[in-house]
Amino acid sequence: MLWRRFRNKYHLIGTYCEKCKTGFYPPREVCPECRRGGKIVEKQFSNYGEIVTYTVVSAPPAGFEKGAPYALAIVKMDDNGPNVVGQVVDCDDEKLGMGLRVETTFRKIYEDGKEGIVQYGLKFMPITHENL
Amino acid sequence: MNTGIVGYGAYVPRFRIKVETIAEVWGKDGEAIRRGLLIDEKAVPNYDEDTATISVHAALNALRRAKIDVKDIGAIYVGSESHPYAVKPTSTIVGEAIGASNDYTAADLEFACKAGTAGFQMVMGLVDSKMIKYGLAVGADTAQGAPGNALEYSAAGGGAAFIVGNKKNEMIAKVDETYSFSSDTPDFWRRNLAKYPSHGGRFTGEPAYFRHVKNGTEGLLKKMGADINDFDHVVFHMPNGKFPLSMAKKFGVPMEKMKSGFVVQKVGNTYSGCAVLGLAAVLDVAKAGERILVTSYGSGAGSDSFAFTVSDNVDEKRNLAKTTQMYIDNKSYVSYPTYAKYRGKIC
Ligand SMILES: [Zn+2]
Repeated sequence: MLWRRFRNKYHLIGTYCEKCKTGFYPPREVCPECRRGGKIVEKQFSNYGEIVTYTVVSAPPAGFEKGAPYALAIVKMDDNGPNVVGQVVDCDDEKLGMGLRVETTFRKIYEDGKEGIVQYGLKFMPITHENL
Repeated sequence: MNTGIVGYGAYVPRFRIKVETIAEVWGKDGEAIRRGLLIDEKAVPNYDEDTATISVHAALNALRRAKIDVKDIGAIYVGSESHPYAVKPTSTIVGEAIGASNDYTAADLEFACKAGTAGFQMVMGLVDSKMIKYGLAVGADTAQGAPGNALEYSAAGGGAAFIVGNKKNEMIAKVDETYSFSSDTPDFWRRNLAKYPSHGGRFTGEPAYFRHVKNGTEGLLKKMGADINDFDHVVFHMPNGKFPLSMAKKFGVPMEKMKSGFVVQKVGNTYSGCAVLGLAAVLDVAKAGERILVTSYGSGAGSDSFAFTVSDNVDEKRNLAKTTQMYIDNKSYVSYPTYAKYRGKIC
């Protein structure tokens, strides 16, 4: 059930292997490197990061048309956090690029038609004021 | 009464549409409308923003300033006339997104533009009676005016959140008094399932806005034995720029006492998020010891009036989150078709 995962959807809470110091989001229960030798703990990662790479989606899947074209990026979170895939919003086209500093923003992800549930979660937006 | 604001936070979406841009679409004189309403532009939420997401951002900013354990929040009330669901609370979405415990009471409130201040009074009561340690009250809206309607020039998106507590050393501003004035007045309404609101035209002025804001404010002053000249900053609900300024004129409040909370010119009317956004903007600049008067207005109709005294904490705490002005300055203009797409006016 999705609602059981709200904690992971609404917050960058994933898992972390203390042995090889690798973060996972979405959370993983086993470290692919250390396998049974790893030590997995739950961790809240930094909400700030930097775009590693991105792509612009102009032919989105059903239910995501309203935002098109939109940017989808891989973001490396600060403090040795994981790489997280997410949509980038509130960003001017000319600003979008590798190395852009971004932070998480709570947004609507998907609406199940006009009568279904509204799914919320995290996207990314450019940092306007560092540390605020 | 021993309660105060220990944390406050604002949120204004990034997109703006100019009043002139809207006027052009309907063949109206944009310059005349802009001068008539005293609104230059209004804030437009992105297609993936709604009252819940605006409330979450404002609440997170309030938490940064409050510096409390979020698990100590015992009540969450979100006031809005644009809750995403007719049945299913916005307040619990906010609770989950800010990392609150499950040990809190919550409800969504609706009273046209004053549901945010109504929630503020509710958490004040719960804190003052020691039923809870801290309470979170949010006023937020993604207000809509029907295409071509006069409301389309002012109806905007935004909001503000307040964490109320009773520890003096944590307060940014102490609540000195509150008073409300209510009456059954059908000046503005939206029936269940109707997409856009209806209003009584000229009827929205004298018997509605002015009567309630005046009585709310006078009632507060009388209750506390104060004079309006005792206050350094005054915020009256801003359905447009003209109404609060003519109210100020009637009370003899000079423009320099109105300007710190006068956000309507660059943001528009954020409905339940309006008077509270004005208060947040005042707290961004107010000095310790200064006194603030806020009177909200909600059609239907009622006014909640508050008197605050700013505490010494204000200088340190205000810099812990983005100010209202930072949100106002971070903007990007959209065209009418983009605005219509974002706000679901087409499709
Ligand atoms: Zn490992």
